[in-house]
Amino acid sequence: MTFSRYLLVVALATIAAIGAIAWARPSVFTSPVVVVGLGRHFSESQPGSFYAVRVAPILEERCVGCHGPKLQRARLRMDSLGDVWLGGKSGRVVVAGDPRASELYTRLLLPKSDRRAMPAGTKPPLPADEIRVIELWIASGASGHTRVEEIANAPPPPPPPVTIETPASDSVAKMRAPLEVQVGVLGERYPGSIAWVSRASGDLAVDVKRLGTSFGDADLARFEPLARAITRLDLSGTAVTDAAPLAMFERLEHVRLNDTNTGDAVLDALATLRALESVTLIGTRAHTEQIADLRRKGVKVYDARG
Amino acid sequence: MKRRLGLTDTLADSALVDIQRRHFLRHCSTGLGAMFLGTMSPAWSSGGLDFTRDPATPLAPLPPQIAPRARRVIYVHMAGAPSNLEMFDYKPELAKQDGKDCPQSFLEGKTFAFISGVPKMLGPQYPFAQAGQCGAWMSDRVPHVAKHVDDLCFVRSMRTDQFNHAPAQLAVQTGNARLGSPSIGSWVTYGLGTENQNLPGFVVLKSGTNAPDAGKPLWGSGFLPSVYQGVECRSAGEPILYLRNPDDISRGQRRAMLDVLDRLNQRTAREFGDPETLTRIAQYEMAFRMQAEAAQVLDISREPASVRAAYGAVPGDGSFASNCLIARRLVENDVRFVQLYHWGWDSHGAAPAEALNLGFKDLCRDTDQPVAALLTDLKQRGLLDDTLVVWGGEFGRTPMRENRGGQEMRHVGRDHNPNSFTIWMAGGGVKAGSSYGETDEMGYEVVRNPVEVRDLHATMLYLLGFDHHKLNYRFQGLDQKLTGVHAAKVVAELLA
Repeated sequence: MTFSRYLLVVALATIAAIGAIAWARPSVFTSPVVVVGLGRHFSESQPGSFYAVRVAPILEERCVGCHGPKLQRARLRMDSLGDVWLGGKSGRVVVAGDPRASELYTRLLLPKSDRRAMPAGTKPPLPADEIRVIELWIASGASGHTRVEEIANAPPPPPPPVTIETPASDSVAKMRAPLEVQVGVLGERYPGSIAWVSRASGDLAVDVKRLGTSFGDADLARFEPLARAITRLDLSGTAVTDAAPLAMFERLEHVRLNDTNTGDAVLDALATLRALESVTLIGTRAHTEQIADLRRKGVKVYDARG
Repeated sequence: MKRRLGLTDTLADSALVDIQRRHFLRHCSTGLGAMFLGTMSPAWSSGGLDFTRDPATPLAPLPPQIAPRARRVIYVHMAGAPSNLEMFDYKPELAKQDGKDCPQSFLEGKTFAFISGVPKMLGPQYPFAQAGQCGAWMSDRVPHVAKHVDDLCFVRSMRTDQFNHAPAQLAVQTGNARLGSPSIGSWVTYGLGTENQNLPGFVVLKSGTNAPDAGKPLWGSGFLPSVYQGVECRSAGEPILYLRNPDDISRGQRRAMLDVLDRLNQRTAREFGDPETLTRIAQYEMAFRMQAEAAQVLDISREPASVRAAYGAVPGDGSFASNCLIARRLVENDVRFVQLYHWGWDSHGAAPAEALNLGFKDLCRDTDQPVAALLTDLKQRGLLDDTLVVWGGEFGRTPMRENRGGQEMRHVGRDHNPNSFTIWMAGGGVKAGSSYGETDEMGYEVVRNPVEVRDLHATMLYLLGFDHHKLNYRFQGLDQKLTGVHAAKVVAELLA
């Protein structure tokens, strides 16, 4: 056998093999595995891509624990796009454009009783939306370049987790400092009536309903130094009248005036308050027209009449 | 030769002789008390908030961590686990499967209270129709609540890991299926205190033929100081047991007695330094103040007849309707947490009272109008904006008909289903007219957006202004919290 004939046989065999593969699995030729072979940087996902924004967080949460830097079950890693493309012990897990041929997708659909179902063990199955995201990504070519907006019909992303940030205690103290003296003085005079809206807030809630009719307009006037810090005010059952100085509470959001001898004038004062969200005036002399005026301004008015 | 002792030496000697083990423990208890207080101090806890108060005012109000969306809670617990398949979770596919054998996949790896062998599927027992702007499907058993769907926030994907009543109720109400943890109401009054010192911060009202299966531990304070436990009030007979003075004792005499008791307790407190003594003094004083105010607030005969009729409440009848009206009067008077229980929803089908086609109807009738009236009333009074109302049971019920002992039963019923159940919330910062999560076509398991009990708790605490990690209490060397050790999340989709 001459060398040239040997070359011919090898060449023919190679072409036949490629042909056979092309017939059986055409997607191989668009497969990023080839790209991975050429250079790893091609396999990096782009920031803002569908993969980076939608797919990677799911893999990170659901898969990387067993298929990542710590453990490489089935010799598979999923902590980077290149690793996902490379696949594991049993070969590729992603066939670009074909979710039904991609184990990354099909194994998610198996019933929990199937030994091959992922995630394995007692870990919960992926929610339908997350499976759909993975399906759409593979169907669109499993690339790291396709942008989020290019994939239509993707389920809406979950809202970001609720985080609670509290300001540093010194910034709260600074905010409260100009008020503290008056809060102390009035708190002593009207016990249990003044409270900070929250531990992080410089706003005040004033509730004097337990002082009953011993609390009147003159008492309310004493709150003038704190007026711009008060966002909630409950005067129910007190002796306040139409002459109550309510206009000074410029930042007032919620006020309750139940069972007070108040009516038109008080509502006029309230109408000037820009931050006002709700007024409750059950058992007052408030007129329906004025109530309607307040409601037109977007203020919720409660008068127990619906 | 014996040395002659000076006076001081003699005294010192006799002091040593006199100090015995008992004295040591007693005085040491000052130390123990101090150590106890030490464990309460923020320095010991890891990043939790400081909830220390003067022991004489254990219920003094404290501001929440962040501005709250809800300032008080009415939690309506339907003990026995109502069937959402007959109320809120519409499953037309299940209707088609009615009477067919249950698929094997529903039974594998599952534990049931009573179902055995292969049960039959059971379609919805009542017709459903869409209600309100949001178009939520509601059964004809809840016509009054159906008028409020646009105020409600449904969670259709609740899950629990308990399939028997008492532990499941404990899980929902205390975050822990075992005894000994504080109830939600206890945590909330511990964290926020209460604005009205003349009423308890945490009130419990029961109705239905029985108490809830897990009993008093549902509203117990667990490892929190006992002052944070729920105070049980009654809408029939004496509103609060043992609160009223005996007939021949005047209020002045009671005051004089309390003053003497107070001096004795103060002396004990000085001697032992135990903060629980001061807490006890505070509780006596609160009871004295409550004698005046509680009876009035709990007396629904003071309400106009039209309001009572809206609820269907009759003074002194001890009904759920009366309790709903009392709940409104309590939150109006700044009670922080009102817990209602209505027992009887355990619709297995083993007896008429617990049959979906019989007793269940009565339960719906007895609770639908009152709870709807409560929502209307709160809304009209401007209280719904910052009052969180929660309605729910401890688990769901199976889409299979119960076949106790493998037999077809005389009445129609469903077994316990911890894999999914529906609750709803209203007011206090939840998204009105919304629905979250989904069960499968049979209403058996959650297929979308599962919400664990601890997620519900985390969300409730968030609405009240707390990061659930920060509302904690040091016990057994741990910063204990309502949501326990498993990761819990605030469900952002439920927030308005």
